[in-house]
Amino acid sequence: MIRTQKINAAQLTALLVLSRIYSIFSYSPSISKNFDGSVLLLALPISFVLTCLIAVPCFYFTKNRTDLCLYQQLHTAFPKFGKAFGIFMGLVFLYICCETVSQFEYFMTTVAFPSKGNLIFLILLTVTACYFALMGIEPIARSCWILAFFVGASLVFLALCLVRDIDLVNICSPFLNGVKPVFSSACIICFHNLELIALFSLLPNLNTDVKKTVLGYNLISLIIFEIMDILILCVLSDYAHTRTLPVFTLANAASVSFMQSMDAFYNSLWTFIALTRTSLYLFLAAKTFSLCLGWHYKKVSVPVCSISAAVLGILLAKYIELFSFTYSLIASGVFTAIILLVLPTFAATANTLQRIRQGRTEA
Amino acid sequence: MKKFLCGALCFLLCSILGGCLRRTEIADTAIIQAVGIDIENDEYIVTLQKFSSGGSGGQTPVDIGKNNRTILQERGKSISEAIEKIGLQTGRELFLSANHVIVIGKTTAEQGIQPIISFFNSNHQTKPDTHLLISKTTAADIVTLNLQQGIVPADNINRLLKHNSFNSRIISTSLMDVVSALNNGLTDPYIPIAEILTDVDGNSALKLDGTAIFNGDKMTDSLSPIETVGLIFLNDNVDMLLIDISTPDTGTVSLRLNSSDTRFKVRIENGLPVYTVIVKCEAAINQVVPTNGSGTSISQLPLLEKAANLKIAQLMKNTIQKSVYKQNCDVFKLTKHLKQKQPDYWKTHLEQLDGINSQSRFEFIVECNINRIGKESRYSFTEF
Amino acid sequence: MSNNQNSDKSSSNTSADILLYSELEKNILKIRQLFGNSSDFLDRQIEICGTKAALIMCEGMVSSQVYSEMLAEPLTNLKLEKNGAEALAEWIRSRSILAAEQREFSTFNELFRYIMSGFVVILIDGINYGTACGLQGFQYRSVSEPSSEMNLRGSREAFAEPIRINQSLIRRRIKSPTLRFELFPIGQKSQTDISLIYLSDRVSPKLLREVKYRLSKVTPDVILNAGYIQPFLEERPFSFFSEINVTERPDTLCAKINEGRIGILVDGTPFALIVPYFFSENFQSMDDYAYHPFYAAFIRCLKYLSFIISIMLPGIYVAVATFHPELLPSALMFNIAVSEETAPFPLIAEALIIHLIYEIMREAGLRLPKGIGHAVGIVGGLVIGDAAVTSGLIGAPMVMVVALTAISSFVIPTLYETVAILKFLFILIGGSLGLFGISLGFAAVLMNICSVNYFGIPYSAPISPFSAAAMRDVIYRESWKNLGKKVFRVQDAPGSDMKYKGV
Repeated sequence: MIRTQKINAAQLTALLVLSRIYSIFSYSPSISKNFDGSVLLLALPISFVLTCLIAVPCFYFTKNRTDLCLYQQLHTAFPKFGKAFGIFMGLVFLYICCETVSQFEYFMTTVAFPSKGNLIFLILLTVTACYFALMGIEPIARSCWILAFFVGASLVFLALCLVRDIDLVNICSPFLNGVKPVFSSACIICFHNLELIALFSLLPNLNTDVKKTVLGYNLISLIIFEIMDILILCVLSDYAHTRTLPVFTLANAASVSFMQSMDAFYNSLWTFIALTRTSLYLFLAAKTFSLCLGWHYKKVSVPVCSISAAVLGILLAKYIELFSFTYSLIASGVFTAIILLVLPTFAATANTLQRIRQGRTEA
Repeated sequence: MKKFLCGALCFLLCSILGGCLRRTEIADTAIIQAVGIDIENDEYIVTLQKFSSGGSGGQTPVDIGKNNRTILQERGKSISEAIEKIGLQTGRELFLSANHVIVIGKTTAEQGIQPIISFFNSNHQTKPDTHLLISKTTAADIVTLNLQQGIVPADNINRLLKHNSFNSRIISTSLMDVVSALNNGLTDPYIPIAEILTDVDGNSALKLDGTAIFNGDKMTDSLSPIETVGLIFLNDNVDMLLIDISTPDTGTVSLRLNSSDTRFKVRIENGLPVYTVIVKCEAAINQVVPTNGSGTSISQLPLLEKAANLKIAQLMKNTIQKSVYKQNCDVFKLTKHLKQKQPDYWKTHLEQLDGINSQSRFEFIVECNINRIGKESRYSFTEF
Repeated sequence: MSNNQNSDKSSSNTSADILLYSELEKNILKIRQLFGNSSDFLDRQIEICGTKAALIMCEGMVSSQVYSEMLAEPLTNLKLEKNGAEALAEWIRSRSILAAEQREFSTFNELFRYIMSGFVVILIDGINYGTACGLQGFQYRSVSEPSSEMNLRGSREAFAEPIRINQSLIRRRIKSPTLRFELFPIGQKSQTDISLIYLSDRVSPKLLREVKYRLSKVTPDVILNAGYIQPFLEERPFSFFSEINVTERPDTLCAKINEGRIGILVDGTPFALIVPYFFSENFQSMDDYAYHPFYAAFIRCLKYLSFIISIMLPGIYVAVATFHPELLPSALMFNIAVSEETAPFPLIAEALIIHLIYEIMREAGLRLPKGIGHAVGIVGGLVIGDAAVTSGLIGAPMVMVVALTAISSFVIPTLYETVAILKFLFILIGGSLGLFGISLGFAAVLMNICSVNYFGIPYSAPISPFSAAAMRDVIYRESWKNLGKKVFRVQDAPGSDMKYKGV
């Protein structure tokens, strides 16, 4: 039976939250911008507001045709450049997928398995993500809903284990170095929010109100980020600056009763989250290419994207400068700005102008 | 065709899975339980206590009646070199994740602990909550000590640290605490000191004897057990602490402090910070040794509370005198309190913060509330 | 061989099309020709009221007493006002009760089906149709206790082999005119009766049509077991998890069809198939509905935990002990290290060997006669429990793991096949890739569950897609006061493409 794959609000929120919190799980002060914990406490709520605002142009542009994804609507608005947009978006999704895979592999071989070969993590993650992508977005969303419970419960457990080690003396004024760090951090976090692009690319598969989902997913992400920030700031304090992965170190430091450390436990969570993000962007890349280039989704698009992700991931993992450049390019928010702000704004403006012209012609 | 492809994929995966992740069986690892670091003639002496079962098979694989440890020791220009040599000696992969304690010799600590801390901080196996200990003699003496009870002697050290920490005799220091203090550049670490004694049966025993305080990464002085109590109050680590107070009217009363809350307030006076330390604690009477045989009545509780307040304040004063004024060690995170409460002052005086604390003033406000009088009744019926 | 099979198929196809003759002799000759000289074929030619007739049956299939009382005596003592074939046929059709079930037929195929189902067939000379009288008296196993789905407070009846007895067990429990049985044969050679059971006011017509369509595609000639038709009903026969439930309890079947599902009984099999089926139903049992809700919730959670333990504990143990020993408490780590010191095999090999031995013993225990079966337990205990450990072949902790895994797997008998395979897979994955591999494996299994949509109804519902209302009988069980207020229909499950539209 041919089934239209639709996902509801809860599933979509779980999917986007898991993808989003990958950023904090893999946050490394040595590679990305070194955020001040106290500044982040205020920057995160501000970024929540900014994220809701940057979603407005795209929401306005797509609200009338929710049976078409963002690429299809851009293609409708600009028929001449449609294919180019599609290829660009597909490459962006593929790029994010490669970056996720290589980042996951890099950190697994840095902190968890330092003496092990790097190829195996990359290949297995990509193969599993390929299997997920072949199944489609609905099973991915369904399994994310269940994984989200595991991840959520584990994070709560981790937080409870660390609560007694919280030392509030580490919290100081976010405006210690002025207002600029707060807003610049908020902007960086906001534009690093690639999941909004994913949301608007999944419009035909949604069975839910987009506004509520954006608010819900943003809010949950904000809460998780805040909790992680408080724990890193108040439990690890200056120790966090000496570690490649502060969140991993939190799990390493947590202990309760006979469980002396939870870093291996944390690795499982991290694997789930990385798998979710990789499969989501692999699906989006494959779907976009199949829409704009006419490739068969299961037979051509998914295998090609998976192999590309694996090969590029290996290259990124091998050359750390390239990896650092990739990470900073995504962190700069240029993709979010182009796809969520620039293109929809142009397209919406063009549509409006066209309607005005048509109205005048008819008059 | 589909089946062939599936089969080929399975075969490929199996062959990849077969050998790509290097696997070391647990029986092929040397499980390290304690590490001791000393420096002699510019060489590091690394002493490791490794688990080595004295029992064999049968009903109980591990016989706790036997000495289940082996000592490994090597020298090297660096800690890594010494540990590599040990690895060659033992023929097994060293497993440091089960290491409970890192012992540093006193002389080594006085020369600077940064290289030692850096090694363990960058080692992916070492856990952040590994305890640190300073030995009054050499680290090797403690690591090689043949302590009875427990599966391995290192269990005893771990238990000692935990128990004393629970009873607020010391503040157990982890690797994370020391790295955090050193990385800050402004606060200083402190580490408990241990010494070896001989108990009544003639066996060797380990005793915690105060706390070593550091200026930067170099050990400058040590706090006696009494002064350590002051440190515990100032760092808000009180939990089931016992203090004795004496007054002419009540005799000697032993109070158990069940909980305590220490807060810092900071204000700037004449360009220098004034720290107000506010301590609020709940106490219970543990034991009374009366001077005149009459016992202690409820009406005397305010007297006891006042005496307790004075005693606690004095303890903190003594500790600050030694650590801040004498040794210029910031083991109380004073700089952090200053940053939190007076951020502008902190920012403007960032360069001079190192010497400012020794010129700052301290005020103490202690409120001890005795809310339990214990199981023994000492009051006559007419009191009620 | 294949030519013979083809000719057999063509002859059986031909016999299905041949209509009965009017002449009795011709009919008898044809029957003998088609049936050969089979020793169980009985035909008794008699004259009833001056008309030639034949009574045809298979030996051992008919009850002699009932045959004599209900059929033979009335026919032999019959006196009609008007003699003749037509009159006799008319009397048999309208004015006699020769059996509880009396049917007319007109082809040879139907004739064979009836006599092989225990009917006595009456053929009359001059009439081109026959009458089948249901006088079954073949031997069958009586209704007994279920062998695999035990319970404490519910019914102790299980299905038997004859399909009609099973139908009666269901009819007794649901005395509603909306309960329907659709009986039809499948299997070219075996002509096995199967019965579709459903409630017409609950079932989705779309689901019913789809099930019938899939049953029409059943290819085997001989259907001896419900398992023969199961793959034809499944969406993904190679998935680890089956979308079809198998039960031997009539009360379970009744409960399921009340939720809009379809039950399938196969003649000769004491098990019924139920479609569709959710993953969460593997953890439900009839006893849950007899206990208090809090206890039922506890038991359900225990079952979920047991499932996780049974598939993942050996793999996690191997993964942790090999790649992540820092997760273990010190004392446990020492014990494992000492135990493995003398063991000749690495942990992964130990785990595989010991679990393989356990599966061999379990299978042997199933197949052995009851008298010798006890010996398997003794040998198993000696071999695994004591000798292997004492001889140093395996470590003692591994024995504990095997024991716990085995006991946990018995808690959910419906998932035993899945558990047995996944257990080995996770051991391989855990021993090769550590907790990273276990996590990926778990995610892949989860995806396997979440990607199945049986007739458009998600297999992982109502956990995912989530429905708070439908969750009332998943992890916890609400009180019957709430459960009874609104009946859950399977086609109304969250994410279902098939909403209830009525008959």
